[in-house]
Amino acid sequence: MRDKAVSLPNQARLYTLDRIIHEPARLLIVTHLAAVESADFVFLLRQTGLTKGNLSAHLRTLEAAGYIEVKKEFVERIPRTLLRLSATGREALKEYRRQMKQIIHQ
Amino acid sequence: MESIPNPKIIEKRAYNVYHSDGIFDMVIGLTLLAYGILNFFDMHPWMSFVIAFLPAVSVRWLKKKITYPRVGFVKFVEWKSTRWTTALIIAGILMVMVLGFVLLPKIIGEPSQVKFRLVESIAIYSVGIMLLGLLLAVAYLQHLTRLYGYALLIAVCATAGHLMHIGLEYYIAFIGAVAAVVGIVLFIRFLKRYPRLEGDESYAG
Repeated sequence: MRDKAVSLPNQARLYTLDRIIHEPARLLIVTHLAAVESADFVFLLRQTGLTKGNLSAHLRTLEAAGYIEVKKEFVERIPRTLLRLSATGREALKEYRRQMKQIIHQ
Repeated sequence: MESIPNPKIIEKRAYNVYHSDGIFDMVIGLTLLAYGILNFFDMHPWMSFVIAFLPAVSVRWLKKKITYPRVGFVKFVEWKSTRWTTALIIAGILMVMVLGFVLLPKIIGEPSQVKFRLVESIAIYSVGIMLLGLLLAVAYLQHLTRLYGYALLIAVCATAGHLMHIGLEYYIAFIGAVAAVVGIVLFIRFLKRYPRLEGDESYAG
């Protein structure tokens, strides 16, 4: 059991993790947006398996943090919301992955 | 690291979902089938229209009307030039291997008239092998496994057609029919798996 426990320096690292990205649903959203140039709401709904309300709430949090850019447009009179990971969001995800790797491997 | 989703895997998965609608297979298959039929009846003026315009217009239109409302719109990151270089290198190696080891030894020692005919046929083979190589490279790099099947089918049909003196229009129509059937099956499966979402799907944030 002792071997599996997170060591003290790593415990401290856990507290420094970005809480916005650390939440599983938001991590899923951010990773999906990192994999593509831009995507719309339906794409994220299908790929993440979240409900509409849940996805909207997480997108609002990410937008408020400046991690995603939202562009609303009309395609043949149908509204479409295009979402893109911002430079800040991309950097935050990169840093999160780096921190997690350190925590897991040390 | 299993707990952190990998963007590369997600990209491949999303790419595969987009191409699981069978539209491309269906349109290309029907185009090849139409080409074979039109060629058989010597209706050449229609062929340029069928080959050049129909696939480009219909794939775009069908994706917009059927695929996007069901799986959402996504703009993929453009293929990096290194990937294209890899694809072209694979195609080139395949071409050199086939030409170098199979076809070129046949030319040596032949009379000049036969040589000319062989060189002419080698040019046709080169284009075919390049296309086959590109198909294999795209299948490998994008994990679109059914493209391997098409590549194999083209290779078998072209070789059998050449050896058994079967007209080009027959085996092109056959390849087209197979691709169209695969496309229709995939299309029906896609419609069942991804029903159109109802109501306003836009993010109201």
